[in-house]
Amino acid sequence: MSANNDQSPGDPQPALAPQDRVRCRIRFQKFDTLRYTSHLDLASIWERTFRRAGVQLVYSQGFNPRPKIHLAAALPLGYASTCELLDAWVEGLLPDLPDVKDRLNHFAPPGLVVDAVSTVDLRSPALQTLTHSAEYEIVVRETVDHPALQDRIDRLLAESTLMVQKGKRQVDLRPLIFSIDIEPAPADELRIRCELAISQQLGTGRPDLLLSLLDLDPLSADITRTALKLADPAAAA
Amino acid sequence: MSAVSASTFDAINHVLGQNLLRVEKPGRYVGGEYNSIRKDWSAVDLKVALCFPEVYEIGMPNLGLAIFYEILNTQPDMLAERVYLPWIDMESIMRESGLPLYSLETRHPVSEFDILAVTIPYEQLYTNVLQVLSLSGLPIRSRDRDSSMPLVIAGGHACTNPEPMADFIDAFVIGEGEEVILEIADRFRQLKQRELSREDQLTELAQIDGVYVPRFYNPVYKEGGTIDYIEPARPDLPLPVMKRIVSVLPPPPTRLIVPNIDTVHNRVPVEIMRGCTRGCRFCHAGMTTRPVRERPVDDIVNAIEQAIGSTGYEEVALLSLSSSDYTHIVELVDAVSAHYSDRHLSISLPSLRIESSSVDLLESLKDSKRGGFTFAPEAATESMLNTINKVIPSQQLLDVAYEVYRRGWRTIKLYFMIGHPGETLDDVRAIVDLSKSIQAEGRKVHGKKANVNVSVGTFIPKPHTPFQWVAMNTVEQITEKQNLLKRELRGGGLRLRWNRPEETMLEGLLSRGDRRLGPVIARAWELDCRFDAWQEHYNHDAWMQALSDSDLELDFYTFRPRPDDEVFPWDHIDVGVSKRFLLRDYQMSQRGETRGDCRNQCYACGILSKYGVRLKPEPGTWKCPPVEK
Repeated sequence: MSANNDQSPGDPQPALAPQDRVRCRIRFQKFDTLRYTSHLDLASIWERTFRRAGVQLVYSQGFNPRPKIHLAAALPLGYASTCELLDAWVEGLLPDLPDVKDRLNHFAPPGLVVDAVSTVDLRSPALQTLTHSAEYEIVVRETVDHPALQDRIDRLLAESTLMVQKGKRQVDLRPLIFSIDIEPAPADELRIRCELAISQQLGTGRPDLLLSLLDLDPLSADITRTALKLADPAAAA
Repeated sequence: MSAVSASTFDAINHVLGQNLLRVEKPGRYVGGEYNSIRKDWSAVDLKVALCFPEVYEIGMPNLGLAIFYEILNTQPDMLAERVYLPWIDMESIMRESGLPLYSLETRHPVSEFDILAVTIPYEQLYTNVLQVLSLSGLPIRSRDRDSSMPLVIAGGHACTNPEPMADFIDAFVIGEGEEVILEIADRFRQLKQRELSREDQLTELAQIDGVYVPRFYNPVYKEGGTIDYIEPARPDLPLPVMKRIVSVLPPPPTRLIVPNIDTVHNRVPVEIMRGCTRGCRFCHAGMTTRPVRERPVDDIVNAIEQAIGSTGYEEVALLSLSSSDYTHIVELVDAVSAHYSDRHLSISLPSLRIESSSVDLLESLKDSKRGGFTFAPEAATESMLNTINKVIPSQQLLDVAYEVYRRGWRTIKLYFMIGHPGETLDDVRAIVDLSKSIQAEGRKVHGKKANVNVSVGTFIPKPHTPFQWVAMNTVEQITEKQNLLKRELRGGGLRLRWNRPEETMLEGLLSRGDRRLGPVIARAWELDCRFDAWQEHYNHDAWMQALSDSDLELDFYTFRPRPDDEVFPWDHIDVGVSKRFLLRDYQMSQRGETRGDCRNQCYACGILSKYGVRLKPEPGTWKCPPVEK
């Protein structure tokens, strides 16, 4: 298929042939004030960071061209992350990847840091279809009795189903929970580490729903996504 | 209010950490945007909090504050940080937890700044200003604040009639702020060293051109409530207070802050021209921003280039009151489209005249088809067009509309106003007929897919315009006219928008208000009025109660025609256009006479005689023709 097929008539700029573009996989952190930026707004931040950095993105054709940027898994508002993944289609042949990384970091807003840039095959499956699970570290900001919490966790894990309200429907959270552990932490702090599903087959397990099941306040907890696991680990940036 | 105060940096952050996820759009309250500037507080002498008294996503894109942010932060010994008004959910958390209003950059309480500078572009923000003061822990009235608290200054379009807000603001800036903001900041830095009272500080500041300190001017009223005269407290105070202008437009700001959340305008704004020569009689901006000053094409193109590089924005808006009147508009559009047509940027050019060349302009900017094509005829009959002095023959409008549709646009947006002086129901009905005729032009090209969106505002007489003497329509008159439109402007592809007449009343009341409205605004705020520009928050009954608590009547301010020789509450504020000129223009409108564009001929509005010697137009840009008496 030629890229010219879907071009609007009269467009004076011929689109680049598909081989003149590269699909970059970017691993990045999102933290600090940027935690309060939604998934949707993050796409605009990336578009503007790329433009400032002088890295030309590939745009869709038509009256309302959008840059071709795919984020792996939406990070809920208020969460930090050390492990987000993004695919960006970039104009040109084989860019100097360390240079792209440096430039993006130089022009990124506070709270956005690129850790790795690699290239992936243009035809490889969409990132959203590749995810398997995510790990979260949760710092609980309320006073909790440690053994009692451990007891609640054990009882949750012993259940075969855990129905919770998610928006307007009931979902079973149990198959989405892979692990929950209380982490060693300083005396005045409580840390929970959990691994929850993010996959097209099982669905997405949200840590805030888990906290509610544990009678903890998800709105005052400090939640960081610390690992995003792909079904095929070789695909990670 | 809570007795607890969380005013240190750590305390503020603690309260935010506990509560940000409990409010709508927490990104409003955290700052951290690209290009925002955090300076070391111990290394500067003067700290200014710049405030747009609305929620973040409305205030953030404001160009005026962006200009001051850049000017002040460029000074090595000064800093400026931003403050917006928290939404109602955040307000209650702040009040409960004793969290004071704080700046986004370094999260310092507003009360720790030297100056709080508030921009007030429109009157519905008045109660929000009181809210800003209150959340900052400051007394709302100027008289109750002392020199241990920030100096509170205000500017912006609504301040050409500062009187309704005179009780609350220490000093107003009249006119353009680019130069005077630094003069105020510099003078205030010196005054700070001298341990003066607030009264003495203000005495000094009142010496700066364009600064109006309301406590030094006393209106003396006649029986019946109109003003007899305005008396300055001392003979050395300026009377009138002349607005400030810049003789040449300084380069536009280019290191604009890029927000981390969606705002009402996500774009680079570049002002291509200030002022307007058209003389539409209802237009406050057209009268108060004279004279016309244009930026050279090269400066604009350079500014766009720099701003895109430093922000990464995908959209540029070329701003002015009347883009078609910019002398080199074709060259500008050619240069801009040559640079940017293949860079996935969209360039918008609002305020185009209704003529075929406008269609050419927008077409060369390419992707503008995303929006609709917008025209503002304002009225639909010859007599109304003559009255308001905005004459576009209907046939010309139809021809241009056909051309717009023919070149591919499917939607035309039209802006009309009802309530013009002397308007009849037939004049209103003509809006329906004209809108349908325009759609008929579209149907020749697009059949059933041709759309017309009609926005019908209500005319509000504004100070410093030829219509400042005019009575506004009553709620009943407006409702009758709107009902006619709602009844008749119907059909596939036709959409009508209008404003609630009660909300229009508030703007009418405040626009031509006097100082007696100060207690009314304070009372309305006590009755929980704020966010008056938000339909769902506007509480008309509370405002009416506030008026009656002060023994004042709405009719006096809105529906009362003013005699030719009435002294207005804003007469001691001089925006350059003389009252004599405005009155002559008003009298012409009553006779159905129009006045031409003053690009072609000078009508002696007063600007040139007051400011002419200071103007230094850049080569190739427009300048006023010589004055004719």
